[in-house]
Amino acid sequence: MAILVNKGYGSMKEENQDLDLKVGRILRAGVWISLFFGILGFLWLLLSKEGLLSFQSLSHELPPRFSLTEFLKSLGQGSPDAIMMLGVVALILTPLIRVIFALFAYANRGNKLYLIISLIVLVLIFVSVLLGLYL
Amino acid sequence: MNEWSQLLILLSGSFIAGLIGALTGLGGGFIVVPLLTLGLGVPMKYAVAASLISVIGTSNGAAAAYLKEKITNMQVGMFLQIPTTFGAILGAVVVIWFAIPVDVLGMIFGIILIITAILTAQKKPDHRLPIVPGSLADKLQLQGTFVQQKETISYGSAHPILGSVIMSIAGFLSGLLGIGGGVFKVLAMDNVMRLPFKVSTTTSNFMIGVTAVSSAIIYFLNGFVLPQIAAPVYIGIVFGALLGSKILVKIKVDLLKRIFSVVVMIIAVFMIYNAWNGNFSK
Repeated sequence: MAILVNKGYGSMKEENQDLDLKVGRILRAGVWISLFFGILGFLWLLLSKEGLLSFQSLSHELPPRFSLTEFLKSLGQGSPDAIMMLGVVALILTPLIRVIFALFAYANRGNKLYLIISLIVLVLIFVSVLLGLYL
Repeated sequence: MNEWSQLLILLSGSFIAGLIGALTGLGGGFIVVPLLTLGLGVPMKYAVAASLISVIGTSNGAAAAYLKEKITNMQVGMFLQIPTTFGAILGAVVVIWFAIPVDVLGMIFGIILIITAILTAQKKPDHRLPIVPGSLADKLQLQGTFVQQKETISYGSAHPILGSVIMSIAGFLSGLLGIGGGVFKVLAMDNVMRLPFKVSTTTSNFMIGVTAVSSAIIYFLNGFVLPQIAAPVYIGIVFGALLGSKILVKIKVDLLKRIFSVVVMIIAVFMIYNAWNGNFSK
């Protein structure tokens, strides 16, 4: 029995380390993808010298909300702002993918407690999306 | 100052912020937010939003590096992400819908920096708690193992509820000010939950990304993330932090930390002075 328990623990540890490596890969990929688009857009902006934002012109009033259709439109036109924004979006998505990935890993392993805990975290992030969209 | 040079100042300033942030373990936000607001005249909420985006970048980078060393406790991280994301959402909601005056935010920023400088000067505890079967921490599986000098060390933790409460404050401050709230995380994970120092440092780095995302989304959808501010900031900070982490393993950081805690104090006083004079709302 003791041997069985030990074996079970050992394989769980291996699974954990496997998960470590996979999550690490997701995180690294996210950083490089966002840096790629960020730098590309930034260089594009510096070279084109068009549509540069004056920091002093920003006011304390509420800005226009983020619009997906406008973002996709200017991305289609290859605007440097939209390319940089793509980098920001990649950055925002990375931790999200990480949580979803962990959720499936816990489900696979039959760790109900942590399946629920990661679900709660996902729901909280979803709440923040709803709050951002509708309030 | 034209727009072009502003961008380059922002990029190089963020690089330095990332470098110092990595060396001190405080993250780049505490330099970038004052630089953007008081240095470049960017309104506070845009500065906080840009700083939050950069926090995600450095957290992803650092966490990926730490995961290789297999010290990060992903379960402790996932559990504590509940209070931190909850707090972070609350922080962003307070800033955007309750529209608290930006000078008040500047004042809070300064005060938190002073607390940070004092707490980082304290010696950090390094616990090895035994696992207590049947305890709440055990039921929540808040324990683990790591390898140190070829020896496997197993550890448990204590007070998950109190730890969560303090973590929610850390999350709240992150959503409010755009900084990682690292000091409060250390307070919760080292002093209250008594996790080993290495575990708490790596795990808190791992978590900061998800915490920052939950408030960054709210700033983002409300239009406070401007690519021309956010992109140079995260590019600069990520590369600065990368260099910082390379230097970190080669030099003695004790003296450096003392020097930087003086720098943090100066920035704190500067923020409070400007908040008092209402310069953030001008």
